[in-house]
Amino acid sequence: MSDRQKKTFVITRFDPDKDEVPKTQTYEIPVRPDWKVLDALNFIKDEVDGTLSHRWSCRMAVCGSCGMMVNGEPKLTCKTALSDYGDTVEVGPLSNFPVIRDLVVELEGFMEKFKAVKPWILRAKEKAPEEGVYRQSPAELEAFKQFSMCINCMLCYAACPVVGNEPDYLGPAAIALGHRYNLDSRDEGDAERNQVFREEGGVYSCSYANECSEVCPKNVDPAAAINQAKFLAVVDWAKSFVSPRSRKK
Amino acid sequence: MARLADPRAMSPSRPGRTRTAPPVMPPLFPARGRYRSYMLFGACCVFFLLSSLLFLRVVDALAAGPEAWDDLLRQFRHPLYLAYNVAALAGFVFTARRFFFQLFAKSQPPRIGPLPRPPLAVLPPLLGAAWVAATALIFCILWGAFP
Amino acid sequence: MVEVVRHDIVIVGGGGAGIRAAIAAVEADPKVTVALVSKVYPMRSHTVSAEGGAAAVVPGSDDSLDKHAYDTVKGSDFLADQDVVDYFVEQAPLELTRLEHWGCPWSRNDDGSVATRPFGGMQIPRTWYAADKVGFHMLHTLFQHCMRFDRIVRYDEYFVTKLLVDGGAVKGVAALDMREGKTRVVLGRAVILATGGAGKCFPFTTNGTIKTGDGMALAYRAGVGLKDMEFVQYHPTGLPGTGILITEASRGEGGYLINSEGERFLVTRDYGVGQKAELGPRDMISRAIMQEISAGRGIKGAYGEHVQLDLRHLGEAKIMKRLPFVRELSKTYAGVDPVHQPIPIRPVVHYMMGGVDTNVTGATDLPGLYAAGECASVSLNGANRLGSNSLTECLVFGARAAIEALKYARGTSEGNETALRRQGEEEMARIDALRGRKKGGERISQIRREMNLAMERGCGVYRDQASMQQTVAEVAQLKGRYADLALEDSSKVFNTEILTALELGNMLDVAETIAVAALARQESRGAHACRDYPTRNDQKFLHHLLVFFTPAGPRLEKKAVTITRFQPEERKY
Repeated sequence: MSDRQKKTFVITRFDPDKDEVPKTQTYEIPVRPDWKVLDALNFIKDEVDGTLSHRWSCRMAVCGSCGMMVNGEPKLTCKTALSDYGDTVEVGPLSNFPVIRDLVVELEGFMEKFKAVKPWILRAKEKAPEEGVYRQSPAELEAFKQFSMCINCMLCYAACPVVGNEPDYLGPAAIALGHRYNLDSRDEGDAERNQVFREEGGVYSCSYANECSEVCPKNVDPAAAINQAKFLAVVDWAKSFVSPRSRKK
Repeated sequence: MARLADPRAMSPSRPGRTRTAPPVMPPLFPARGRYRSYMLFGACCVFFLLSSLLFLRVVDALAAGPEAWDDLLRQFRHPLYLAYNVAALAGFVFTARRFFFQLFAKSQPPRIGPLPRPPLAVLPPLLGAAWVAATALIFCILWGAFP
Repeated sequence: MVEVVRHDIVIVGGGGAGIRAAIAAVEADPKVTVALVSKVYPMRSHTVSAEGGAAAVVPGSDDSLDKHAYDTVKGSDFLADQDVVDYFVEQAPLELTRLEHWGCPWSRNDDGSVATRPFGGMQIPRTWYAADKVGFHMLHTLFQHCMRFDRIVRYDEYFVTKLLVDGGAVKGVAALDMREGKTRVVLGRAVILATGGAGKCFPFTTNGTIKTGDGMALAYRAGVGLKDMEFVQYHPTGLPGTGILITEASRGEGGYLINSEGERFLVTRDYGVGQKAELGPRDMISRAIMQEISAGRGIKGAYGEHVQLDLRHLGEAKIMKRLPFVRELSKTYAGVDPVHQPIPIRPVVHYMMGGVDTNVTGATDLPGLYAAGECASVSLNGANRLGSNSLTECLVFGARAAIEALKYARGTSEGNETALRRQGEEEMARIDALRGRKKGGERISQIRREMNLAMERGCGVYRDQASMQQTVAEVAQLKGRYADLALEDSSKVFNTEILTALELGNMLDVAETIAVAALARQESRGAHACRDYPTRNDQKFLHHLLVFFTPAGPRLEKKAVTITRFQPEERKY
């Protein structure tokens, strides 16, 4: 193992059965030059300390499980090369989230926000599968495609300066998702979603720090989605005076 | 230790089934470049406030007659006012740059009603042109080009 | 005291097949409630990693159901059940259309119809795609769509450890709630397994860490046979070292495979793929690559020898439009930009053709137990699956299993709750005893590593009787050592160590069935290439192999293949 170099990992540990508050634990392990941060965590789990808990699965940056704070910045650990860091690497659970254990955070709060934006196709009348697909031009697809690339890794929530101060804020990923359906040519539910967007904790809580887009590993650009949604939600509101639509339930 | 966030941040409406450690704020944001830029952007609103107040004074002086106007101009020659104007100009340029050229373009929805958005590649140059035109117009007015 | 919840249908697994089944069940009956029990949040399920596409005949094109059926049967080396294939090709277009109605962002032609691309072993482009993140878009579309049904009750991060059987029928599951570390009982009148494959039995796989054959092991221990387990698909193009998948779509879009001499060996040499070249079926191309490497035309790298996938001639614009994820993965995980450099690749374990034995309805021989998706072997894929059939399979047979399970559930009782609760309590005691157990001296990672190596040695792209024999013996011995496992973590909350231990137990069971079945199939068919028996033997082996659990070790049984329209013929492209 001559190609291995030693690195020190300072990892946040928290076990609600034993610890009052989170603490840190230090591990010095040999790493390979091509390792990602996740490889080091798995090495610690497998060979050094079986009590370390973290989530991971696909190790190819698409399942979204392994978001953590690496040296104070939210990162997908399977995509973050160790070679970008010095001899000491700090790994902690995502900020802005309650911590269940070690590097594992509470996702139920997000699941509620996720559901609140109605992330499914809403139509007055649905087609039967036998009638074939809806027509959608490449340009219409392009309009929302970018916002459909979110892997729900939660990095944007950990980076956002608003999330930690305004618990009701829907947050970047959820708004980007709702906006994705609003822009989809097959969807007719934008009036319903815009109502959600205009409520307390909706799109207008965003202060446009752009941090969510800075940390997004999939270039979804949630900040763009939120600020487009701000505009469209107000257009929708204004339109409701000019031509009061018969709001579907 | 890290600053604590609102304890309800990202928590479910019903408390979780096990005790959790409270959420913490993202660590030491002000130390990072892009967060500094965001804070500065927010802080620049003070220039908008102060300049609006000054504008009210200008209108007031205009209404009060030529003597009041001359008086105001004399006050404006004070170095503190001059310094303020330089700072405010820097603030406005910074705000305009960040807002119009970094954030505004991409936050345009792909379509508003029946009108599609022009391609993203042409939006910033369009905005730049609009900005240059507006600046030129203001200069012309200040120069007295229009009667 | 173990807590008990009750639903009509219990679905284990929250990937493509599981969510599709849940939606099918609640749509078919306005009163049922469904428990969707998954060991991860459903959007983490491994369906998310599929890249290339989903196959279905496009209505109104010059494709036909017969052609799709023939390609599938030929691809399977005539081990697919043809009644199953017929049902599959007929339902496939409807299922993909349904997904389109639910919002899946399929890539489009200029006229607004869905676009298709060519795929390995298919005569006609019939693979629907959403750039090269098809599984991701499918899974997220399904998951987002399922959020609208309040009658789908999710149990996220619950790990099912046992099927609860009462009066000869499955009536629910016992599951470990990761959050609290408690075992709970989820009762239902029917249970559908949709837990995916078991690629993690092997060291070098495209599969995520969660794919540990849990559903297969659950069914196996409950006495259900596992079918066609010897057929393990090696995907020709995985990144060396990590095993990360580089989609077949990169060849569908025109990519070349080249050896150390820069030669397109699938064109210049005879590997049986004929005119199809890079678009031959996966088993043949994987073998071709291994032969190139053993003939000394491989390229040496940090993780053994490999060949290369060349996309440079496609140009940056096409790569960015059709294969952006391939570019991202190559840059991040192999340090090469496919626009300018060829991608290093080698065959990698990708998919289990085998699984829980079911018929075309998704029903197993155990009343009340259904299975769908990769964890099932409904016999669509036979000895070799064609690329892009599996995503569609999840949808078609996920939906079918749900409808059949619902029918069955209407005519059956809820089972004796006292007896089921008692089984749950026994299971809870077993799990609690395992947590933080200091007794033995074996480490999880050590046993897993040895199992991985044994499986690679004996059940690789090419197999031979001697090494398979050795693998069978090694896995049996590892199972013995598993009983001696020592665990460090005695905490209850989110104890991932006990999860890994239980998963390892499942993998050992599945690994054993793979090795035993592979040893018994003394021929070469589809993905099973045995050096001692290099040809297909329809006289002796044109049948499925079932592996059953017995306390003394696995027992093998034959099962006939359903052949209707397409008689076995030599498989040449």
